[in-house]
Amino acid sequence: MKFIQTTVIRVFLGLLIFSLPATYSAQKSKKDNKKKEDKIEIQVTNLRSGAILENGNLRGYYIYQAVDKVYGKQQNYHIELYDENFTALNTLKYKAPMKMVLITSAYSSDELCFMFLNTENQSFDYKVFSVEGKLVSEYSSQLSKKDYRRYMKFVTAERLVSVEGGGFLSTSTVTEKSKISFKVNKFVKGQKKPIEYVFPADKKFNLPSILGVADSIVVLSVRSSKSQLGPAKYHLIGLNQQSMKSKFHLNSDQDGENLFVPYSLIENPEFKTIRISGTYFKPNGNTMKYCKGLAMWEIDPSGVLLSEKYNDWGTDFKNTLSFKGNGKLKKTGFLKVHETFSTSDGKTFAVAEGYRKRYNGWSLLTSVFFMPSFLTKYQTTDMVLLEMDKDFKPQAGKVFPKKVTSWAGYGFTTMGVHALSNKIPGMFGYSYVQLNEEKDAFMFTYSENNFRLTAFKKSNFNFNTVKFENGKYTTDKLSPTTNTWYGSLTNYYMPSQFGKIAYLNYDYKTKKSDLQIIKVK
Amino acid sequence: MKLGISVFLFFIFQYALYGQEDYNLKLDTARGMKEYEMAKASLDKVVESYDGEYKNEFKEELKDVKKKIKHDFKNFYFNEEYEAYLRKIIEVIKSKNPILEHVEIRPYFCYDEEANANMAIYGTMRVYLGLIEVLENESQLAMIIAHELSHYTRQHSVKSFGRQILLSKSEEAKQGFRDAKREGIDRIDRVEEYFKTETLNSRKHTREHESEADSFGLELLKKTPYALDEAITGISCLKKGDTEIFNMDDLLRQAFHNPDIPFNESWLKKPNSIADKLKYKLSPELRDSLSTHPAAEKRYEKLKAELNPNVEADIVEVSYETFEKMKKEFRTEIINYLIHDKQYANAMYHILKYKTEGTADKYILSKMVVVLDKMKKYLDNHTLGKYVPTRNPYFPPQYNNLIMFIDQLNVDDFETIKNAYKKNLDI
Repeated sequence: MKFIQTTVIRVFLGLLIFSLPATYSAQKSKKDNKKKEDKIEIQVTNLRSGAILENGNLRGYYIYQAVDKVYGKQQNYHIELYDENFTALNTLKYKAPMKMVLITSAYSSDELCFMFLNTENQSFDYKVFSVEGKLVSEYSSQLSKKDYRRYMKFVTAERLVSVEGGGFLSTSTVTEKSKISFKVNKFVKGQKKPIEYVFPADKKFNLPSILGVADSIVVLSVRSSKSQLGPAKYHLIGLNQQSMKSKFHLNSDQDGENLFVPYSLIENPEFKTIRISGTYFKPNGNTMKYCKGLAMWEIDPSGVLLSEKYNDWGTDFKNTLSFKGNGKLKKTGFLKVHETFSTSDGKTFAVAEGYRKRYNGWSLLTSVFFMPSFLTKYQTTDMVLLEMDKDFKPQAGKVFPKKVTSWAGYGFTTMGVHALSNKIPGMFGYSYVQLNEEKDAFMFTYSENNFRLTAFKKSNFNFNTVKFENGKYTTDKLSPTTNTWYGSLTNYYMPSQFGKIAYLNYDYKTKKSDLQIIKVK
Repeated sequence: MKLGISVFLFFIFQYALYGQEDYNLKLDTARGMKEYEMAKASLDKVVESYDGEYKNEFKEELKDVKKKIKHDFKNFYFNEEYEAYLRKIIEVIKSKNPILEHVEIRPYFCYDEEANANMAIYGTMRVYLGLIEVLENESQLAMIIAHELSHYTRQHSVKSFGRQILLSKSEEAKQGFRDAKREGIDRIDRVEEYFKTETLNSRKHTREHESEADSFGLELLKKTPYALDEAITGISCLKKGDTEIFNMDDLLRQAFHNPDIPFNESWLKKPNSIADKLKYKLSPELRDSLSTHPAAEKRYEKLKAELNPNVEADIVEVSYETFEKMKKEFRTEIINYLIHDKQYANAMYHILKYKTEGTADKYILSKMVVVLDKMKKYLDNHTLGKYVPTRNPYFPPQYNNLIMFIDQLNVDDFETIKNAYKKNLDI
């Protein structure tokens, strides 16, 4: 969530009119008739805002502000904290050199951790606050000039998560012998320095993803490739949660037949092993094309691969939905799997979105006379939810119809789905999936294009939710109205508590931001 | 034919019981605007009669007040009988206190469920319907009226404005302001400290006025035929409005459980919140310091000490019957107003509260169905958030429990609890 606005604190001599910064309700500064010497005006700039998560569950929100002017290269920063209903909590205040960019945050039992990019020192700075608002510890991780430049140019490795039982894990980029690798830092309460692990890179680009913690082992998936968007291989890394020493390091194409792309841990207290779900591809490492199906690896805590399960679209999923032999779903097309997740009963679900290529008939016809262009179009179609039982056997599938969105493609070029989604931001409508605290219910969300010529004062897209709770699926659709004829170009939907959505809309006419917490059906 | 008439009558009955939402709300906007014009004229007189320093600055401040008070005249409750009753009580107090001979005020009842009354600088006394609900007799009402009259007679509002203007002109205040304003990295800390100090001083000043109004109000009542020991308990009664002596979870179970449609305990789930560990901006201590009134118990003890125990009087009230009639009617008016104003959670809270107190008649109880239907409708079109607030640490705890209960309900759940409720009431 990112919106920048500036408000003003005003204090007048005599009659106390203290207009609090409307942090998520921005208003244009009102003029007053007070003399300059009888008023104090302090500018507050909202730099960044986001959700505070604890083990994936929303706990609150924060708004990061720069307050007042810079004095001697030092700036006042406030982090305004809000509960899940946007009621203001205490404010974290500190002074720091200017040009501190807040990247992300995490919350763990009784501490809050914020990760900053210090553009002055070219370092990542971490600040850990207690729930009373006191700064309890600070860490700084220096970046080399190369790493800093790389961070500014590419999507890199920075993540921050809380760990069950206390503490935080953070990943950040590090260059190892001209290879862009990463390190994992573990912040432990009471310790001044983090415990580190550096990944031994074998290819140029290495992007980590923290899958979670299972049996006191931190499980990471690492995407390694020669070029940033090129074909990739994956590594599965297991680190001891206490010492951060490597427990296992597996290559996801080690069987030579399939390339496993890990997505998430399958959590169930009954399982004594580490189970990871994801998709799988042909073994040549070309994950740019469509995947063959869903896969699950089972590893024991020492790192021995116990079993692999591969569910092919055309054969294993045949009884759930109308899959053809080539893995295409009738009417929907190929599937891009966005996410896999598991519920507390050990079942695994996959949220996917259909896509297909169509030839543009009109362009084909006119290409006889003119240069061929836009001969193909790429379309995203329906949302698909697939269910597998405790043994990872395909159980059921459900298609949720969505408006087809078309994107023009030049010539007859075939683009891999990942290349497509990188070149055309917003091509896929999928937004996020969220589980409840007990992990026995979930909700996934997606947007669909709603543009129409008669869309006066209506939003340009619908935001849809699919909720699974108490054994039942419920769908809902949000189509907010606005008071501008072109609809709202700046509305955002963000995760809130389970079953709710935070909707932020900036109204260009009134210059006001409006935030609502909407309960979905 | 008979079946058709029966069906027709059934729907008419349903409409009569549930369909009418605005049951004769006694809101008279035209009269409210007329009172607004009179209030503006009174404000001009206040400016004319001001004999303090810096008259121009005072005039400017009251100009701002004139612009802001218009919305205060939109929720007056107009009833000739009850207004006449209020005026008679004021006449009783005035007739025994020559100091009030030339005091002219305009008393009204206001649609508000809060147990409160206030006296405006322009001579309008507002008595909230919620106040009558917590008071027990006319003597207590007389004490509250005398308290408000004291504010007007002692010119507390005028003095407050005057004080603030003097403050802005004093060298000491100017120096403090300049110190806060000085450039530097800690400027924001100094400004916040300055604001906090000035606010606390202002609140302290307001509490002194409240204390004075209590004492002076008691002096005004001493000469009247009201029961003084009863009268001072009226101050303690104000706390009743803030005190919740019931458990909302139990009330919800009772109201919405039926053997055929059992209550779902998951509706009472209390979600985890970061606020369970972190503090809210205003701590209980700070909120206490920012309160405009001293605590009700302290006020009562102070008045008790000032009461002359040897005073004997023949207790005479204007009208016991009118007071009792108002108490009963105002409960219905409050519920109707809350529904009209779309404060559905508040309406539900009050219906359940009256139900547990045994003061809810069939009409009030039936309004729960209207409230549930409305909430279901707004949840269905994603706008319930506009009419039902979210959990807030500054709300009473049981009200928060009700809000969390509403938060757990889906569209189907509203239908379920409505059916259970109707079955329980046999409607």
